[in-house]
Amino acid sequence: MLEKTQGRRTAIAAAFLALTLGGGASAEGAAVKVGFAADLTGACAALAEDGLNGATLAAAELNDAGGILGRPVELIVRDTQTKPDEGAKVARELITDEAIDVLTGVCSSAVMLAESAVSKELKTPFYAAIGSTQRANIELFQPYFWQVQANATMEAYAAAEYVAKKADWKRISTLGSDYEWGHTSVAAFTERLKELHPDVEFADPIYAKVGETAMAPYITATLAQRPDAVYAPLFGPSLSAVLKQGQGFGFFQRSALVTLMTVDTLQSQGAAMPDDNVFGIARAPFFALEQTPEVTAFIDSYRAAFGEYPTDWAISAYDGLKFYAAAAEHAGTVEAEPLIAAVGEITYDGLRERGLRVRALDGQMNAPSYVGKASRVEGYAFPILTEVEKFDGAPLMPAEEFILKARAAAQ
Amino acid sequence: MILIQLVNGLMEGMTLFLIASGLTLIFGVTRIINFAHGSLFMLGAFVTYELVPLIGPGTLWGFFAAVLLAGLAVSLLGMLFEMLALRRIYGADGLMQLIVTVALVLILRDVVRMIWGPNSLSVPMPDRLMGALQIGDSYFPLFPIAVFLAGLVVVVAMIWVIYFTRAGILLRAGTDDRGMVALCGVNERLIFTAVFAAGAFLAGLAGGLAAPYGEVNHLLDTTVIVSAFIVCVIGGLGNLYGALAGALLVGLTKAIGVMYFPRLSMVLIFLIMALILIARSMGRQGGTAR
Amino acid sequence: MTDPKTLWAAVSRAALNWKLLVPLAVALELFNRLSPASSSTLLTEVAILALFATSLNLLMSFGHMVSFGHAAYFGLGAYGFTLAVTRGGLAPEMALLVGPLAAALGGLVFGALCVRLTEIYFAMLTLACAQITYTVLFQWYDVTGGDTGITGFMIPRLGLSETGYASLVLGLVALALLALWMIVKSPLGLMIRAVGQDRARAEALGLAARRVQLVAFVIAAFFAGIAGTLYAVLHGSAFPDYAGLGLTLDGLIMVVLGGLNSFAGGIWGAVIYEMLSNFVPKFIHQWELVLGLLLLGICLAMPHGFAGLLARLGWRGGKGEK
Repeated sequence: MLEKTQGRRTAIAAAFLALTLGGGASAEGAAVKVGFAADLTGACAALAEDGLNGATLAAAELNDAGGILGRPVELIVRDTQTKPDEGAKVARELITDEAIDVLTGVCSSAVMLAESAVSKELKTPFYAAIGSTQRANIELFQPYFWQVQANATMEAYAAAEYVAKKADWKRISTLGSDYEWGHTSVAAFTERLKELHPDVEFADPIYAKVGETAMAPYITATLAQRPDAVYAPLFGPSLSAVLKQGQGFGFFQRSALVTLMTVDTLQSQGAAMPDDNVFGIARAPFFALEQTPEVTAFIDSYRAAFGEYPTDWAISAYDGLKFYAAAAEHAGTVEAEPLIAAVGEITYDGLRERGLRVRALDGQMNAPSYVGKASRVEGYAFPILTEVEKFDGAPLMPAEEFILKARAAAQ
Repeated sequence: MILIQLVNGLMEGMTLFLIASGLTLIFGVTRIINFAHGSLFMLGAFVTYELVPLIGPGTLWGFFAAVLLAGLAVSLLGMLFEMLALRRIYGADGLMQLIVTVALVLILRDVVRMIWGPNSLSVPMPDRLMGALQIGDSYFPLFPIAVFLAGLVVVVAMIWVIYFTRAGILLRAGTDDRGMVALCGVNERLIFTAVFAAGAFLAGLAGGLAAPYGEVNHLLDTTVIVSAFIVCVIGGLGNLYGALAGALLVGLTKAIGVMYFPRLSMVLIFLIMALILIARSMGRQGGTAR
Repeated sequence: MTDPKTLWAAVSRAALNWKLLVPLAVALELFNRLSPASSSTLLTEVAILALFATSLNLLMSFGHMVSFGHAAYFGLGAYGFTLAVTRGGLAPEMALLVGPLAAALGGLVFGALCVRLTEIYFAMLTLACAQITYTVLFQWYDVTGGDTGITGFMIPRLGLSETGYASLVLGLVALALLALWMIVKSPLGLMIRAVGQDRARAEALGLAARRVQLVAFVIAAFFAGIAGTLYAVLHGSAFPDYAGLGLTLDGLIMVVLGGLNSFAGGIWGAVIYEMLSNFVPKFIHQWELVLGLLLLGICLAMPHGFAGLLARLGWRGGKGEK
């Protein structure tokens, strides 16, 4: 746990990276500027910092290998304070004053949509690697946008696929945070599970105030529905509260819990994680990735630089920047139009999976999702997911007709 | 289920009271809206996080000792803040004092983040409080019951201090009429410092007690400050019994609200306050009194 | 009150220091024209926030009504404008009028409740009203877009360049500030001040205190609504945050930093605070710490705000008022 405190020292780590990696071919010419407008303070701070770490490592490695198109890569970091208007402001400033070539970094859905609007207006490529609202793919899609992780609907579909395989889970409750992400996730999960398993019984969904920490009343209400499993798109403080406060209600003896369980949550729960019956959805759990030489080398250099294991957000941001570099190499330029065309054309082998592609229709990458069971395993100071199942992105992506219909309806 | 929800409500109410009591105490005497109260609460949680593994880890007494020490540490910081910053501007508008406490919020948030990082931490519960009291198929978790009892101890201790000690007499006098206390030759500054220390102690204590029941991170400050303040207002600012009543009312309404009007959860606490304030304004002209 | 004669009397009595204000306006416009686009955007924001803070200052300095929920009217302005475009199908130019009116209407409804209370209880009821507004914006997905807000419904800045829009906003804000100044100087302003200073005495003199306070509240909401509308146009978006506690707190900080009991306080405060919170995060990772320390230092160095400091130094600025 103590090693987490070093997470903030990105600058030191960057210097360290420059020292250790700096021996390779040096890139020359004007830098390719990556505007990293991230939610470094506010509710998303921890995620954004992990994302920044991942991008920093990717940039250092790219530079070590000769940069993008022979030009060095430079990260220009700004804090959006997790406020959409501030996000729009710094995005605009990065584009007009710093002349960045690509914008990224965002976590919160609202900030993501605000930055996407600026990217559209100023015709600057923008990709999301942490935030995952599908409004950016569907009704507010704009051609300069793509996202490199499973969006909220895909993640909920993955959870539904996993739950459908558990034959003895017949009665399902849903407990979500009362905002767009929670509602979308519950709706998508319910829809997909009904298709897969028509005789599953659903209790009325329950929604908790965003950021609520006193979850006991919600736990009581959920357990009163006598579910076999609870699907809970909760986040941060509310999720921790359910994991901790649930134990006093015998939650994990009475029901299973399926929730978002990224590496940072696993770490922060530590010894407090319930022993059984917690199932986690993750985007890029480093321990469950196929341990190719690239992945192990990445984990090692990440730990050397930042003194901690890479979280899902770090891996996603790392893959995101590497994917951008691949697209730029393919296009032979970082100019917006040819680059966007290349984004839709290339196939990329990332840490999470080989054969990653971005669908031009909605800018969605066929990124995988992982679902597994939280367990304690020798060799890790924190619980990890075991019996992990990987769900390929492509079958989870909303159908093209669905997107077109949704866009038409929004008009 | 309604019985369990009532118990849940009482438990949350007591936690709210522990936070609000310090706030209302400070306001009652000094008329300062201490926006940094949530930050002191957060600091109490972090200090507890550090102390729990050192003092009899896992034991009941170890936990409560850690929480008490955390309260004292935070109290010391509150005292320093009062003496070094607030004291200099007692002559200025009350709002200037509010802004100074806002500055402290920003400072403490970043300091905490520099020391403990942005990621959430977890304080282990004492082993004996992990389980639940199981009656039939109803579960009553032990930890919040222990917090509730600790809260009762605090209430009794406060009543004792306020009504049966010289400090309490000065405190009550200060709440009623500051100027008169000063005229009687009592060092007003000393009262202010003492009250600030006591309020900060309560904040730190509340932070420590709440720490094992959720996550500990640098965003805890904003989570609690607004609801704590509202509890004070519902009970009448400066009024300790009022704060207790307000806290229990809010806790109970929230717990029951989950069953009957869940979509209001975000705004419920504000609605309660608005209704009570409007009712107050209907009752008599103005309505500034406690 | 709107009879032209009194209006004119108010203007002439206003005694604005034109010798200072005209060069200032010219300098600002020159800066806008000569500096890069992002400086124009910053200038626009400072101007909008100066109007917002001054509208709050009307309540605080003159009416002695401390509002903990003024962002609600900023938000209502932004959403009034935005919804008039997206739902009402109005052209953005026309919708500009809807924003401030929506804010004034909100001010009328909430104000009628709030002015029944005084001091801290007044403040807390304004907070409750603002949070109720925020929640409606946050949760009413079908209309307000919920927490992810409304974007992409118009070309930001009505299609003007950053510089062009900055000029427009500077002009509009200057007019709005002038109007506020005239209100402060008008008989109505005197009544607001009388009620603010000593409610009982004002009532004894025959003033309907609550009604005066309500009028002040609606006026403040209206001007906050103008600020909110201009802000929504600047970004081409509306988010619940625009009505959030953060902005309310920013407004309070601006007014108090700038100096209570001074018309220009809100303007000074907006300039100082917006500059700090714009530039400090750009250079320092630990910007909250630095901003907090600066804020603390400023508060201790000038406990009566910037305007108070100026007055003590014997400098009575163009808009300074004693």
